Amino acid sequence: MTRVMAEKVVVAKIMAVVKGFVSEALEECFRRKAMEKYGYSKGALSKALEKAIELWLELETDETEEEKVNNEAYAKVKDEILQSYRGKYVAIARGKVVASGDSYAEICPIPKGKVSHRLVFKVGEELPRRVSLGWRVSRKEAGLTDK
Amino acid sequence: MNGIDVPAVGVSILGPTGAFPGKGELLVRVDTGYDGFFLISEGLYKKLRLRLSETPRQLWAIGRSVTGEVFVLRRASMMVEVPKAGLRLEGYGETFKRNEEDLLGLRFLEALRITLDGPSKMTRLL
Repeated sequence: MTRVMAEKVVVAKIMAVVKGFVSEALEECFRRKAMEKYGYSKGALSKALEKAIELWLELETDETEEEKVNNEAYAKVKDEILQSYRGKYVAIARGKVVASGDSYAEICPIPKGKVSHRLVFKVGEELPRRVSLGWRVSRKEAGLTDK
Repeated sequence: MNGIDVPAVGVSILGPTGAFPGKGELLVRVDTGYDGFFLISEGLYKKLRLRLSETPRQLWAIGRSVTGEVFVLRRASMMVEVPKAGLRLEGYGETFKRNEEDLLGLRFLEALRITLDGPSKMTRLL
């Protein structure tokens, strides 16, 4: 027992400091939420900040240029689309609305030409923003990264 | 309906590349702990080329596992057919990084009547 304990290697997580400025309102909201989630103890803010950075990185790192263009186009014409196409399916490719239809089946086939990303969605449909994942769900190990 | 050890439903997915699988149906596990429509493994998401049918990022969701892990769920529009029930459902598929599971969730079940027959290991569509 003693021998096993002695051989046990404890790897300390190396921590770094992130400095930056955010609005007072955002800071207050973040601080409150972090305390609610992780308790009024030392390290609560750091835990919440780490989670926030992880989520942001996950969202940003694999965005292709085409995907970015399509999403920026959507953000620009969102209100217009909502007025003109409510209840219909719309497709956005290369930064433009390229198709619309009453059903998904109408616009789902791959368009002609080289397209690697397209937005297809039902206008005005409310999709859940938070999803609970079941007991089965777990991530595959990412493994080590090469140098 | 299936004769395997878990509740599962046979489906066919209609996405940008057409119907998958081309012949027969894909047996997908039902998980009532997942409250979305269709959770898709990263591999299948790529195979179906669902990046050609994605919803805007503003409409993506944040998923939370029972162990408290939080991650971004990529979301794509698609259609799912349940051949044995003669049903075609418009819905969405979701995936997250390094996900290996294909699951049908509560939102999918809203459209179906099924019974689970434990002793016979059957999921029956009504």
